[in-house]
Amino acid sequence: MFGKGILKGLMVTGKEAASKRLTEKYPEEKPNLPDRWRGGSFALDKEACINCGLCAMACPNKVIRQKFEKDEENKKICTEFVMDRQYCLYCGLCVEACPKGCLHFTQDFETAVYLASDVPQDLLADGNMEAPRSKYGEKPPLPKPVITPKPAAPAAPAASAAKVEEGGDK
Amino acid sequence: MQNLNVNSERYTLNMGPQHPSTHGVLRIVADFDGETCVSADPQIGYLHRGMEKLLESRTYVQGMPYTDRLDYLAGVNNNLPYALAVEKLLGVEIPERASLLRMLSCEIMRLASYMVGIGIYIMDLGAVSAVFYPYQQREYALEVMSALCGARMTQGYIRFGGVQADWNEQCDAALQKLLDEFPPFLEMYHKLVDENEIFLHRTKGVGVVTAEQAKAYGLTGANLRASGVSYDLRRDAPYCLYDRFKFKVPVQQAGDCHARYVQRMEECEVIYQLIKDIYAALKETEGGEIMGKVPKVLRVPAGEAYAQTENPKGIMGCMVASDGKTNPLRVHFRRPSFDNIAIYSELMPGHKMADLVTIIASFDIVLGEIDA
Repeated sequence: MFGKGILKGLMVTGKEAASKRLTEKYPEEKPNLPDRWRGGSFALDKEACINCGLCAMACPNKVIRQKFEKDEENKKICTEFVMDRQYCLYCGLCVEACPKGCLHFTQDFETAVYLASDVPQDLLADGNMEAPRSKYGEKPPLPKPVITPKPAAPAAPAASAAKVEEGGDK
Repeated sequence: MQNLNVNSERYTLNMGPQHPSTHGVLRIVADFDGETCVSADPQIGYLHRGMEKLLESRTYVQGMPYTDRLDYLAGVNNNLPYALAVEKLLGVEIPERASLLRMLSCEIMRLASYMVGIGIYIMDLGAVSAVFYPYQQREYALEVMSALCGARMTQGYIRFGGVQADWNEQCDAALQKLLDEFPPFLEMYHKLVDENEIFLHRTKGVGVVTAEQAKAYGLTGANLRASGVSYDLRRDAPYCLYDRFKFKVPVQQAGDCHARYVQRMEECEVIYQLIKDIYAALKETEGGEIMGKVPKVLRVPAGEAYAQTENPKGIMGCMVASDGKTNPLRVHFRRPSFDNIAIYSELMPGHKMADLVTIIASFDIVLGEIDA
């Protein structure tokens, strides 16, 4: 009989129409974002940042605008750290490049603004650290080293601390 | 061509670039004699972004996020040939777990891409509700990718030497959801579409591509296999660790638009089984390395390398030429959709206007890839 297949299909549609709703009622119901969400805005831990500029170097699209100056103690300080988000691909290479893990994505997603000038995000003025943070780019904790009975163990953290100071001086 | 119908008028019709059924910005300049197409000429370039040039001006690693934008329906699958080509030059060894993660993410996105391919195909023939059911499944697949690497579509998950992130519990939960929901969906969809008389009338015997034609025009992927040529790179020239897995390569003999639909539906089952197998293998390598030994600043040795993979749309190839600097000298992509549409100008003449829509939809093209 012609039309049997159509009726069979319509039965499926009817059954599906009466099934449970799968969509989220968005403004009332917030989406459940995964831990490693990337997108939205950035967060910067200004205290932890060592002004190395690796994030800007990793960026494929020159999104990160940075300026550095030397202060009176000849220490490198950052005077500008702006994320030009209008060019951002959200590839996450900057977050991965950060050696100190101080640059993060946030779990924000409602980032629409009224003015185009509000799109670039000035991370020096506002580090945005109170926003819920994404776990993207977080390295898994290194496996605990096998304990070797040597006095070299306490010397290792001292050496790494010296390195940090050195990096900060540059 | 001779005007057979004396009462009809010959005219040229521009289909696209803003036509909803051209899958983006494809433009087809077709000559019609009444309702019948006498010649068709696909025009491309409306989505050209200069991808290959962009990659030349960036470092190797920085180029990776751009490859996602080629076939944007399956981002990870485009990363893979680029990564494989550069790794050939670097000569690095990929850890087992990383290879499995690459394969798993590629198969998940292949499924997601097929869901669009099937759904939009049916929608172009007028069945709008049939597009939403596959999109639900695609949503589950995208949730897995989003849990794995944070992005739903332009993932950029693959890195030179391995992958960006390891599998976690959230991915487990998301993948389990996909694995649970997919078989009932497939059964339901077969019921919904397979016997629909309108669908059968509009697709059977339309746009027949013979095996010789398919090979001559360089068709690849599901479009080639629907014409009776059993060729799948995953089986015939395995990359990653595909040689470890046994899977069926379905083939159709008819070569018409209906065969291309059946082909995709059959391949979905194979992909589903493959996802399960790879996932089981991945579970055995728990705690393994996900990155090979690759220097932080990549200086790729001078030379040329070519790698190809089986993408959802066909065979994707990537040629990388290096002169030893931090950025590539030249990158070129063989984009499957670009080669697949070349047959249009031979296939379309003789068909009616509405059949042109069927033919375009049945090839499952994506314009990001055609125009690069």
